[in-house]
Amino acid sequence: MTDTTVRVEAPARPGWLRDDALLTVTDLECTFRTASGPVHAVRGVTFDVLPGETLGIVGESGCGKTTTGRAVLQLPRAQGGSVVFDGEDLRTLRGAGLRRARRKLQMVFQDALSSFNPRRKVVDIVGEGLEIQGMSRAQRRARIEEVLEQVGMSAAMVGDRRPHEFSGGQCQRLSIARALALGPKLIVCDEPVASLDVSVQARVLNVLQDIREQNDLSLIFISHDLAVVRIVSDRIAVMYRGRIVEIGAADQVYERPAHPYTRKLLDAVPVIDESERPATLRVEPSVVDADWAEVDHALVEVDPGHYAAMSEAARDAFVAVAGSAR
Amino acid sequence: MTDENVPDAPLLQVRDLRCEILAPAGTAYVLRGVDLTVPHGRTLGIVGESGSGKSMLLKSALGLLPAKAQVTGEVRFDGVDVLAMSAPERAKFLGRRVGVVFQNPMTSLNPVVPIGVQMAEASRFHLGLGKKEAHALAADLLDQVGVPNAAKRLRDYPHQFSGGMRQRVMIAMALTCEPDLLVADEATTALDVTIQKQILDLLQELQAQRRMAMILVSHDLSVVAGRTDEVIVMYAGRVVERKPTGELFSGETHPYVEALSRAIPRLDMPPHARLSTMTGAPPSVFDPRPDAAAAEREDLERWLSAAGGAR
Repeated sequence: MTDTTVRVEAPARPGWLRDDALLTVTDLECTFRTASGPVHAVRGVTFDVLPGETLGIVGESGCGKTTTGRAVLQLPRAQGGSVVFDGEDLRTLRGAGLRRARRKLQMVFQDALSSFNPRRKVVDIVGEGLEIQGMSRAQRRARIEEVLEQVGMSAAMVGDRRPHEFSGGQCQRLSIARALALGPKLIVCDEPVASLDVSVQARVLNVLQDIREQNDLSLIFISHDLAVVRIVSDRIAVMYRGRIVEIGAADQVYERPAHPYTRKLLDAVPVIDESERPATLRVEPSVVDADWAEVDHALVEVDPGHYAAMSEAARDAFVAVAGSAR
Repeated sequence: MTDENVPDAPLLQVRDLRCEILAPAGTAYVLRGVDLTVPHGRTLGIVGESGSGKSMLLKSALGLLPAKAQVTGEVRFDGVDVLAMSAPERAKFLGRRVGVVFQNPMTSLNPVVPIGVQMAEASRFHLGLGKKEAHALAADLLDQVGVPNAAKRLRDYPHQFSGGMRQRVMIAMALTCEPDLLVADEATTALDVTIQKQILDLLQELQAQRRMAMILVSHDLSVVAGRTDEVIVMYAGRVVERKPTGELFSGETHPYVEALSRAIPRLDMPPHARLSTMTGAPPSVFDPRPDAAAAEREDLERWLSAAGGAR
């Protein structure tokens, strides 16, 4: 694991990284060993998250978005790259040091119910992190009450009940409360609303937005649903086959999607009203890399702060078309 | 297909369908009088939140519920009274003419039986095909729904297929007996957007080719918005709105439908937009009152007092 000599020719810092980031992930590599050989789930992923910012990661199942989110929390540790959070490279931390760092880093999973121990009382589940970090019972009680309130629940409502006594939306709010308990700086939300009904989903999304504002939190929001990602995120990273193929401010990516895959995703979203789709989607760039699915083009700047994986020629063609389409 | 005495009779006609289930906690009023019509070759969308009765409506109408559920009302399929039949008669009749695709193929497929064998079951039972013919038909159908290497894949088990491919297998199975009606119950809910689009496109294509009628059930209004002729919206076991799809959002829209649509994130919303949520919860299924005052939900109060709760 002492691969300090690898960086002989330090690559130039990618243009989409910013100086004041809370989390900076560079050249992340995640490989899984399987019976049929190694699977490169994440290949050279680089992004950052500012304090108070929400980064949305979108892509289809199997694109590596969940692996990326988990690698930020070192669950499991990535095989390559660095994950610098609050000034520390988490990949080099072990034991107590990692535990200390994880207090500021939490996760909300897709299936909240299966992330709870069915035999424990919900209050204990929400307070488990506090217990592990050594907080007294009385202090815990006060803190649990506080975070339950933040997600629109209360200790009285939760009482002595166990996970199965709550609905899907309630479970998801409880898992948000659990993530909040330790006062984190960053929460990774992995498909937190994927299995919920639209009206329940709306409530959970609003809760996430509230807690982000109240606690000045950063979020990484992972989802395959572009409409959901759109409303919670400041910035968007689109992943395809283990790589980021487009990254930029939400408005840039949604109003002028550059990469063919992003365009394909936006085109596939079911909408009530066709006019929701970006107008530039209807203007096909005259030159699209025919090989985009096979060749890993590098990320090139298509707009200030907006990068997409494409050849220079395709970029120029896109800028010419999308520029005039505005 | 309409060689019945009434030429323009709809394929499926449901009148005042009610379903009550005796549970330890009391009687659950699952359906409180539902009417619907599906003409030949048309597509009906059924929308509603979980617990609104969408799936129970299908199961009641198709006679898929255990005897413990008391289903009353009238269900006519191609003019034939389905509820009057005995369970085996109904299975024989509807099994051939209706194909159903459920949300989770992993729970409808047997994990330890190759899909070829499972696909052949329906054609052997309903069409009386031999083993070989049934296998050939299964291969042909898999090919039609876009599963590559169809003949080879018949030997594979459900877990060897991806989510999208598994759903294609389910669609192929549903098509086995050349049904007149294809029912997709949240068939794409578990899939991601690109695969969802492929599956919905496939369903539409097959429907046009085979001139089938289709019922598309979803909790998501945007899924049925562009793909159905008519939409009914269910709430607490009743139909609260019924409109041609194109007119769903024009003219006077039911407040519940409006509230439901405002809860859906749109692609053109700015970052950190708030979605409007509905306060309260739908009325309990155990509430015996016929139009179970949805008053618990403030948004609905206005409408309920005005409409008097018919249907």
